[in-house]
Amino acid sequence: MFEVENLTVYRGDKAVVHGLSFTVSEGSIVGLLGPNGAGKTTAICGLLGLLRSSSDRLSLNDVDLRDHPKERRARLGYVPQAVAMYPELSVVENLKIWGGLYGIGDQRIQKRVEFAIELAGLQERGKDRVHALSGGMKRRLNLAIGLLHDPDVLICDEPTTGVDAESRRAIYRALHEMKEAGKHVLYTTHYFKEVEDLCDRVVILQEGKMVLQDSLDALLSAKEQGENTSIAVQTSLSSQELEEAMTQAGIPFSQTSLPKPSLEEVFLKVTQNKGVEP
Amino acid sequence: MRGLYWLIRKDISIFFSDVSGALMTIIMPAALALLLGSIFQPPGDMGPISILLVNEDQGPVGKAWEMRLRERQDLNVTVTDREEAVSLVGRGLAPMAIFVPTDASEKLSPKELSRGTMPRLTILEDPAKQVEAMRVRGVLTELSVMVVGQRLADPSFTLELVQQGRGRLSESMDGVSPKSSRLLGQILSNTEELIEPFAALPALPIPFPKTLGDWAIQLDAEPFPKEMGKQREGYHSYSHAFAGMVCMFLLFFGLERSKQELREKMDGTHFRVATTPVSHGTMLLGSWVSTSAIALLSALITYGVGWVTVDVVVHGSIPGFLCTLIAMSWMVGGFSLMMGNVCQTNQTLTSLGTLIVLVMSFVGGAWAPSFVLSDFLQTLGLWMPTSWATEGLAAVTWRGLEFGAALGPALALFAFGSAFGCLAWLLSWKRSHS
Repeated sequence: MFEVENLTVYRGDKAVVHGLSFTVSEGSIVGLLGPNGAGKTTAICGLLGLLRSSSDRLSLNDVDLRDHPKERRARLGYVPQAVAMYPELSVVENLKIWGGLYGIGDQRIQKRVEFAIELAGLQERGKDRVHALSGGMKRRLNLAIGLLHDPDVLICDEPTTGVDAESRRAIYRALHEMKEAGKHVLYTTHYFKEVEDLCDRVVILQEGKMVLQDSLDALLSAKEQGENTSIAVQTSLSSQELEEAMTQAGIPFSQTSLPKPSLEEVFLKVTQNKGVEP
Repeated sequence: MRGLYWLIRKDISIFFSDVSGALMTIIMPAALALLLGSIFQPPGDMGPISILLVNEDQGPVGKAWEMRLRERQDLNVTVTDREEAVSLVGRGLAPMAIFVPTDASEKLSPKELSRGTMPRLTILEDPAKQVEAMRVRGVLTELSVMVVGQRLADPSFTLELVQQGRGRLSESMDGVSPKSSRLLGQILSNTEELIEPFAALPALPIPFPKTLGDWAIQLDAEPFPKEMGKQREGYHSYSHAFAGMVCMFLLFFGLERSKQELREKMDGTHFRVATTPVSHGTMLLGSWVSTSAIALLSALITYGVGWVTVDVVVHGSIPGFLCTLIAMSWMVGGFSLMMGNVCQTNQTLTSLGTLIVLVMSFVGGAWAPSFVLSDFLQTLGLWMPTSWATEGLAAVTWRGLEFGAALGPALALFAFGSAFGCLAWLLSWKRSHS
């Protein structure tokens, strides 16, 4: 369990994220949403130890990470929004270098490089320089680098921005594999559909404060007691004709269903329509 | 340490990933050093200077001038007339014309000399060829002593000069005490008596030099003692040019590395490295060491090119040479780190960095030898690492000095590099905590 309790992150002397608390269970993906400027990146920086922060708890499987910055960085993986690697170097060189920076030993590095190349689907492009790869390939490699050192917690900052459908599917597949392997994933994205498809829980940030945290199922069923109900009937009649016919005929409604509100609707409601982008 | 190793390996791999760029880092300083070295070749390496002589004096002085000028190995004398000389110099086809006036012999007579009249030569110089003209002026000064000395070596000339002097003694004794005036008259009278017998002889009875002019002080090269240097062959302009250009281009290379650092900060790669277990200090040190390592390698290869092409040789201490290069590379690494942290945009880095490197190179004597600069600039140069780099390399290359001569410049370069690096670390630390 990756546990964050009362995390406050500072930029200079100013607290930008206040009292953020959430947990990421083993084998689960938590979506971190918020409008632009909500403090998502600052929160990530705080988690990674790149900005001054304070918290009541920051632990992984009950191991306190606060006083062990090297341990923290070794056990956390980070996939940035930007394609952050060395375009002048080949795929393999990049993976070796990043592996080395993450502290992977000589014995293990070759296996991890092979794993990452397979994960990114770049078996035929290992010797190619990164700047020669397509945008989607770079994104996949970007993710593979974050997974290179086999982190227990993976923090993804909008990893699918601007990728094609094939690469998006590859990234989803990799994240599902992480989930199945019992890893903890924290995921920020602009795409609500992605959160609906991937995440188990959602944390919504606004103006540096957490305004909502719940499981995705709970959020999406929150409107079941709401005003928008409908009857699904297979018929060629118009809705008015159907209503009249059913009333006159005294037919009880045998099947009714409530439409699930989209995550975007939930998001807009909790953030009081202040923004549409997480 | 493993993180440091991978950071250095990364930077070296990136440097060599652009093979043509890496080659240019080596070829450019060598090419410019070859050019500058040929420009600043010492006079001894230059061929004779062509000058024109317009001898309008048919007397002994005119003949003496012509003979002395023709004897010179470093001059190529063409005797011509006034009109052609003016035309050739005016059109830039000759650097200088020397005119011996018609009354040159007359002005160098005992009568004129006793009056205090100065014999004169006139010279016409091409304003665009001042360097050659300055050399010829020096030669003329030397020859003047010889020409005048040649006249004074003739006892009959000297006798007449003394007699003229005695005759004019009373005219120029205003303010002189009678006693002094009397003593001077006696000296001249005794001198006259001494010279008179020689003036009457057809040849001098003692082995006098052919002319008194040959008694002019002869300048011979004094060899440096061996402990001052293993092999000292004089100023080697290519050695100086290679020192200066290697230093300047390494600083430019440092700027390129700063740009790479800046780019990595902007595209998020730097940020990502910061999320790895590698510490902030290790990141800075990695950049510093890798820049220094590449700079050292480039410098060694460039010096190799200099050795093969124009005989740029380490006549002095090889450890001193290596020590200076290592210190210079360390300084370049620190400079690169500092510029990458001082400048926040690529544009600022390019413009400010280029200005700083050019000023440091020029004032530090990397372009031209510092002795051609003014005293102020030479003093200012002591505050430039380039000055220490060129001095240190000069000491162990063409000066042929021992390790001790390179130690001071190497320590100064090390101090400059460390100061630059500390400033970079301070700025970086401050920024990461803001």
